[in-house]
Amino acid sequence: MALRLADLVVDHRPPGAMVGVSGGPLGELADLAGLPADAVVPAEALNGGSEPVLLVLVQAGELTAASGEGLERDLSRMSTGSAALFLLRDAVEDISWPSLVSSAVRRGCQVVDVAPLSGMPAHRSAVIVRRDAALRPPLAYLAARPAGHVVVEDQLRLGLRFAGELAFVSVQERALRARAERLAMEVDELRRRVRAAEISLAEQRERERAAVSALKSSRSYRTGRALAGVRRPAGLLRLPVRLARALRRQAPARE
Amino acid sequence: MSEQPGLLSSVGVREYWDGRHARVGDLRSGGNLAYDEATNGILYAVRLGRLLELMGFGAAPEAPLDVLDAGCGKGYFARGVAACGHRVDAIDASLSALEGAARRGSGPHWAQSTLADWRPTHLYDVVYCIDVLFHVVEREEWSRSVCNLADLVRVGGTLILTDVDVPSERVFGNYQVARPLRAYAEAVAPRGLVHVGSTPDGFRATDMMFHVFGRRG
Repeated sequence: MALRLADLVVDHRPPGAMVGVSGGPLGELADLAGLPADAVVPAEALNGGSEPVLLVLVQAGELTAASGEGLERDLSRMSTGSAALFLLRDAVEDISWPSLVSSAVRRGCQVVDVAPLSGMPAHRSAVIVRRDAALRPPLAYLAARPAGHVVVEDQLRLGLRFAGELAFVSVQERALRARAERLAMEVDELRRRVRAAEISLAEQRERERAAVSALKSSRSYRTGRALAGVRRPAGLLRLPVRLARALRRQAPARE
Repeated sequence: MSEQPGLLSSVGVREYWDGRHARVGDLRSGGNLAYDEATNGILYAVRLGRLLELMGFGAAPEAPLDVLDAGCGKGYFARGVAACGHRVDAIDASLSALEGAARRGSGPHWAQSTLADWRPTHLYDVVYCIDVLFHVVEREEWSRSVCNLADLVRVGGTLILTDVDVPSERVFGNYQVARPLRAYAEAVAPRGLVHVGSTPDGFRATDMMFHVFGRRG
């Protein structure tokens, strides 16, 4: 299963930090976070503090310009060493993330992880954002990790590593997205062909059904059936009557 | 040629393992020959638990961890990790081991390769190599193997290696060379990995350690 809010809070809450909530009901979120009700306060109440905090920011609908401004306002409340869990309705693969990264960077924060979320009725992913004094490596994906700052002294080396991985991941993502689009087009074309084949098959069945029906109502068929029915002497006696009935009926034009 | 008298060469070790995987039953072939099959079953289960603990208890099949099992043998750990929802590539130099692995079930992507020669087109969140590196007897090949595995770990990812806990290099029999933690740490440091911690595998009075390294640059 994906991570629960309680797992994320355990992993990312700085030791002894207050938890501030924005955009969601305090009591319900305290329950989901596995925290006592009095450990959770509205995010606005954390304004101006210098102690590290954990913010739980609940996105109500789609990401918009207004929600981006709200996110930046919340991130500006975070002192160094603080973290934020931004809960989104989208699955991880559907997050419209570019503006989210811009908001974080504008406020001097780093996106350190994105995790699938479970156990919440309307939210499927969590973006973990931190404010630190220096660049830090992303967190081990899906793993529990101790809260606190991983100090990387060689910042240039870390930056070079990020840049190198980004170059290859980006080009491969482009290739994979193009391949996925080609495959989607092929699937659409195959579906279109299957639909056309199904329609053609149905039309052919209808034509054959009509042909059989026409055949069964023809004089020749009825005469043949009458003759084929003569297997016993009694049947032979009834043959003239049956033949007369078959010949009296109006034969279809196609006979 | 082996570096030390009495030790098998790399080719000799590979032939030994290929024969052992073909000859010896399920878990003993890659496990401990001193134990019977059932005890090896416990040994493997305990180690799988320790491995999952080190990898983390999160799983998300819709966006899984990318994992490399380096030296998978008959695939016990690879199948166990894949069953937990992770995407696993599993490599081994022994064809008979891989055939045995494929017979026992799907899930991981099996491939024949040495540790030093595996060249994927992507990085992994977790690379693990259990009970293999002390069988890589030649120092040069051991070094190339460890460095290659380290290079496959993405930034923020984890490298997990096991070896006997020894203060300095020590030879066991004719096909095992145990190396100390220091040797591993020195080998991976230039590749940007740092030692995060070591923990015993937890089975009986074992001196086998899981060494964990994380990429920091």
